[in-house]
Amino acid sequence: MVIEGLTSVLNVQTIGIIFLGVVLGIIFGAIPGLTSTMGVALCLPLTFSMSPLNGIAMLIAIDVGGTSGGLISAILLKIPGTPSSVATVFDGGPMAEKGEGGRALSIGIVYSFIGTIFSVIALIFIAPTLARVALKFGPYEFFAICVLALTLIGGMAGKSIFKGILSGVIGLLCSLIGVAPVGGAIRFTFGIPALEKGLNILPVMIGLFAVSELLKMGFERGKQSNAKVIPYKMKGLGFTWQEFKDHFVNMIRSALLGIGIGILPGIGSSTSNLIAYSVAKQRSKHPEKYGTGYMGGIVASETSNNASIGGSLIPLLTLGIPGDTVTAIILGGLTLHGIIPGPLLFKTSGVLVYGIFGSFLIATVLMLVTEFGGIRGFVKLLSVPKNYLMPAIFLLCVVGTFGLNHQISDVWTAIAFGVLGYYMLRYDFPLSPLILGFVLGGIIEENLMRGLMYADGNFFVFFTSPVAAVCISLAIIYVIYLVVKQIRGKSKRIS
Amino acid sequence: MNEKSWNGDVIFSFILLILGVVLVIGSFNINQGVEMVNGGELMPRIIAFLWVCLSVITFIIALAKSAKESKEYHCSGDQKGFLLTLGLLLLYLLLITIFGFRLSSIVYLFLQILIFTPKAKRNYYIIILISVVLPLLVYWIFNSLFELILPKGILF
Repeated sequence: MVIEGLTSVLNVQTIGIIFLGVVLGIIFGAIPGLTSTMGVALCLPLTFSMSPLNGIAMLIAIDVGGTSGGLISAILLKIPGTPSSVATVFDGGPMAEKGEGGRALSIGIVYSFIGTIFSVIALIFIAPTLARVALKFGPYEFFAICVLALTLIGGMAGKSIFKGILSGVIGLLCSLIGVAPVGGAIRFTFGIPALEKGLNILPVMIGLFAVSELLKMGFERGKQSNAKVIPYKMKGLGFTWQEFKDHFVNMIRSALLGIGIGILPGIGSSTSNLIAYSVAKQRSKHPEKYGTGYMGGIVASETSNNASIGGSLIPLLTLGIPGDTVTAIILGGLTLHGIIPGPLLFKTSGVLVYGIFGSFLIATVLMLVTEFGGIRGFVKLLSVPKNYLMPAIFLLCVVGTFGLNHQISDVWTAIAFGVLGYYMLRYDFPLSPLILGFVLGGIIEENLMRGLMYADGNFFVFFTSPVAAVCISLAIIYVIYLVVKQIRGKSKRIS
Repeated sequence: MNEKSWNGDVIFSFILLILGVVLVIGSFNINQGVEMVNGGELMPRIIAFLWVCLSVITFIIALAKSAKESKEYHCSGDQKGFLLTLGLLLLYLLLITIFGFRLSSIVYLFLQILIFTPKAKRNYYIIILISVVLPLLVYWIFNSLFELILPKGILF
């Protein structure tokens, strides 16, 4: 099954699709304002007509390309192309200003590759084991894990814990719209018939991540960014064997951090690059060099953000719980193809799972080759004016959302969520809890209902399962901890 | 700059709060499909209740902040540009159902690029070229390559 799955991707069509995905991903990653999340959301409709393996392979390839592509603008424009490469700016930017832009790019690309390889290995070894454990999970456990995941992301994603969790709650509520899974009651449709079948993830995603950007651009129009591409020259790998050895520990540590943060549901590469960077700085013998164009900074950031990709696929494939926003869309893609991710997936569609692993591996190699080979082309893209680009992207949003069900109401939904997303971003409400809440809402409700039926309506029976008890207690302790921390921070500022 | 101490953050939290109250009321008007102890109305009630609690807290925090810092919530931008963009999006969707994808996209792209581009930098040849070619290209690609039928209008 393993061999059959891994080799199922070795055909021209699949490799071609993966290549296309990687290139698109790098483009979306490289251009500031476009993220890999947006890329995956926009390309999701394209995968409808593909086979499940090809479709998922394309989405993963976009993620791999996008997470790495962000480094191009992070280094040459000093603007992170995606949130995943924020920490790359700290050292990549100064290095490019010193005239070593090519070296910074090479280091970033190589360590992106290494980070992804680490995460593929972790995925292949950890996922099947975890799936075997997860097979024993019932509704109590699933309910508790989802609640914990949502609490974690709500507390971590934004500046204010209340805004973070409120964002998650908004997502949960949006998932409830329509006919109830148990009992068939019609909820929150306010008399609009189009809402009865519930909201689809695709318009919600495109609205929050693409339409909101368009509205934001309307608000910030006339503000020309003075970002100029810093000149660069690329020669070889850009670092010596000795330098590789010097940063070996940093590399391993950043990869492990990236994988670990990726596995934690709800947070992914946009968090891991910052954490890995600060840990690398703390543990370094020369912390003063960080921020001045030091190789270690790029190593930490780029290894960890790419390592998170594989990490975030682990809970998706084994539990059906997405690790971050991109995997949330991939979950949508799997469901559209009639595949329900979860512990049973390894038994029912083992070949597909190993096919996904195989395509992940190929995407990684193609990412390395394409970025080294096509760097000039990608750099040129940085100068495409946004005032032409964003309207064109909205055109694709319309096509994508309309194509889902051939209903214009889906496009209305996307615009409504665009407005919501725009205001949420403006007032510091993080968007990722909303998406996770929306995706997990169905799972949470279904398992809560089933659990309550087993337990004759007594919620406290949930605590008889050790896993569920630990998860729910952790979630409660975490919220209390954050609230106390926030109140203390406030009183300190006042005094 | 605003004589009122109410800033955008306060208003947005307040709107969320009102919405939450509406949702709580809505959750008590859910008709149960099948008579059960805990049916489809349980989750909506819990979530709507949580929504209200959290939005009360964010509202109070925002209010306290705005009272402390008399300055307007930091946002320098062009409210008109935002409203024009939003209005154009809504108009575009209305037009699609009447005139189809191609024609309305051409109109949309042209106006949207005009909104985004400052007057001094406008190159009308390029803008017209982009806004005509791109919709036709997208339509062709999706119609013939991906077999995705986009809405056709009364004209073409």
